[in-house]
Amino acid sequence: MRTRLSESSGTAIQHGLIAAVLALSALSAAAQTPVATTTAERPELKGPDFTGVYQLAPSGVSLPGGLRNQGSPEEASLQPSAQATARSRDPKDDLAKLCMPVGPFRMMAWEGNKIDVYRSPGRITMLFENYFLGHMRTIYLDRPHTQGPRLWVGDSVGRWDGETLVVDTNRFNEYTWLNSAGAPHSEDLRLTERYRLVDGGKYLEVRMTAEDPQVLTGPYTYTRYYERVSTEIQEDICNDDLQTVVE
Amino acid sequence: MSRVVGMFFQAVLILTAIAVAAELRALPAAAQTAGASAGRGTPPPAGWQEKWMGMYEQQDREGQNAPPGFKVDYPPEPATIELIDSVTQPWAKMRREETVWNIEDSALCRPQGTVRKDSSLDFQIAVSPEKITLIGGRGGSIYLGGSRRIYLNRPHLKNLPYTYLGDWIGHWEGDTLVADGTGFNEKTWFTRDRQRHTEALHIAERWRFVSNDEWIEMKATIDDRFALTRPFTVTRFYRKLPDDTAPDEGVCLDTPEGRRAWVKLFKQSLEDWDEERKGVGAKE
Repeated sequence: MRTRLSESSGTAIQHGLIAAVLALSALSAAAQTPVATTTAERPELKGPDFTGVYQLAPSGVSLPGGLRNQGSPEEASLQPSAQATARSRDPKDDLAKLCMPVGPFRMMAWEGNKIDVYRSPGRITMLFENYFLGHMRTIYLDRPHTQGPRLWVGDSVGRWDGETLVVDTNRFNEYTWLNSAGAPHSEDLRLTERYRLVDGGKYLEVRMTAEDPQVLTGPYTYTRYYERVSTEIQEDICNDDLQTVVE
Repeated sequence: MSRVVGMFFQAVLILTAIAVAAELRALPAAAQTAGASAGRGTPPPAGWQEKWMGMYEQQDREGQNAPPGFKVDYPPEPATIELIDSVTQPWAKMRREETVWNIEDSALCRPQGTVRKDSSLDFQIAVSPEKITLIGGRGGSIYLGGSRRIYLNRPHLKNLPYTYLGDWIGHWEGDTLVADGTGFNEKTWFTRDRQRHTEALHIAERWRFVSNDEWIEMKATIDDRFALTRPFTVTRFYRKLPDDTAPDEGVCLDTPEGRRAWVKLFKQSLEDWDEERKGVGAKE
């Protein structure tokens, strides 16, 4: 009972405070003095806070609530000319073996992938424990796509669709493969990712869709679940032992 | 044969030097390292996350890049090399001569370490409740430093993994962020000229905003009780850039051709080095 009372009095105080804040902001607006940043200027604050470290759940297992990774970059269906390109490629030439970025389409499904997510004004930043293959992604929430050099991780812009962050990425360079079997992509590759917290925030779900009319037979989507973890990001230097890169 | 004997004595000399140096310097430095940050300091200053996160401008190695009334205390590289040389123990100087440029240089697309590169170039500060992350090079390039995470809620790890960027913890003293780094591996250099440190490297940094909060001042005390005769200090400044500053992508040797050429060069260096060593063996 005591808790209830304090809760309701707390709510009353909150309402009072909100009213006071509203009155104050109306006053200051009238006086034309800038007030604290609003969510209109800070789009990263409009949706849920994804800040944290996440570990990709292994494929082939069912998570609580029946959540399950589905599809994979290896299953993307290629047009005949792209199939021929893939067949002509030597798996030894996979740039992952040179410790170079593999691009978001492969990376977000990379077994064992661990990500470190931050938000700052106008953007969400994603770091990868496997720094070399994942590199770093910046998702701009305050601007449309821009012109510029083609990038390993592409140009990512995001918007909120309710509680879901929708990320649209283009402007990729042509070095990366779509999978370990050498599937190519064109400069028109476009990725759409939908991120949302599920199971009470225990998991971050990502639905990744690739579109490339010159290469794929149609849009291809896979789903991955990332578990929010309390472990720290470890230093993982892909070419720590330079010998392994050389061999 | 005489060369082998010479090498033996050289090794004994080095080991003795390390032992003596450690004996001479162990106590104060160890005490300093043990003074871990956790549980110390004052509560975080209000609004620190909003204030600190953002993009920061490259440190100017010519020393020009400082707010009015402040002075950079870290000379550009030839002078840095002399500065560090002046506090380097004799055995460490010998070790520098033995260090093979193209094979051991961590600059081969590996992190160059916090002294050599990390805090001298563009970087981004990202924050979460438990840590401050310095993303080296605006684009987070590993070549330019990688990502250094400073944990605010814990002491140093008990079993240090000894990494390129080390184990960093931090606490607040008023508006100043006090960061303490230890657990570094031996693969990074102080400068591009093979100046080496040991796993005893310890870096104590003090970060604070100065000059109308437009700049960050960073004072670092760098010590290594095995490699240095005494600690040295540097002071550097970083200007905060507008929030919409875009990071560069900054992938090291960012074309497959560039990376393959580098692998070829590395292979060649290894072979040359092998040949050289075989040559030495044949003479004996």
